[in-house]
Amino acid sequence: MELDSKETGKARVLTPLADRIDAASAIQFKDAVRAATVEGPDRVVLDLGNVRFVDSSGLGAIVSSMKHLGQGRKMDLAALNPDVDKVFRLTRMDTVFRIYENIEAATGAQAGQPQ
Amino acid sequence: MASRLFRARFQSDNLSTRKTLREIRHALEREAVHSDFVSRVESVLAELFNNIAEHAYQDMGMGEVHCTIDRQDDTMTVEVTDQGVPMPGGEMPEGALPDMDVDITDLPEGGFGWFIIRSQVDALTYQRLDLGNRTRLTFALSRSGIG
Repeated sequence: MELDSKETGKARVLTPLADRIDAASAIQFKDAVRAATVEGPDRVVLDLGNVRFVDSSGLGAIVSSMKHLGQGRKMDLAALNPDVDKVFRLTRMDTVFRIYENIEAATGAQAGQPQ
Repeated sequence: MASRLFRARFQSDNLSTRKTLREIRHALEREAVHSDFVSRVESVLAELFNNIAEHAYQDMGMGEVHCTIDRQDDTMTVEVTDQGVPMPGGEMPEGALPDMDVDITDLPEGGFGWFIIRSQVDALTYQRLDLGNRTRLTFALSRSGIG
């Protein structure tokens, strides 16, 4: 899966250039995130702004990518479309990830600081 | 009188499934129903089709799936059949949400499929056929989106 990767502030922002993270693309998604986070900031923001659909395989792939970052690193999510946001809330993924309304909020001065 | 909105026969591989889901979305959008409703149906059918590929056809690699969608008044009924192996124990999985209140390393990376299906349909039946499986799902139009 194509992934746009840039560093903003103290975070690595990853933007999948795909409209679905599903059974057909879950493995490619995981591979792309791993490749883009081998090194770099401890904080990763996954920008889901292009993504319109996430299924169970996609949720699993996002969790797997977060776990793979390892100790001391974290993954936050940003720019969920309303349907994707509903799936995250339904499956209680919103208790696992910090979810920001948009990329600016996720990378702003206060973002990512311990609460 | 029920009217047939959609009918398709497709192979259970990931890309054919994705293409069929897109066709279903287009067929439902023509019905002028709420887009939240269309998303709810898409989420459920994606999980059901993935389960058929992963479980019913696990030994065969892939197989044929048949799907019809009918509308009658304020409900849509989806019928999905395959020619794969039966559901374990002859019943649909219970579909409890995996425990999310655990250490990061123990977080589940799957197991959401039947939870999504069961929580987002308004009625659901499963029947083992002589050769294959038939699942019927009912969606009430009065309930729109995922949640």
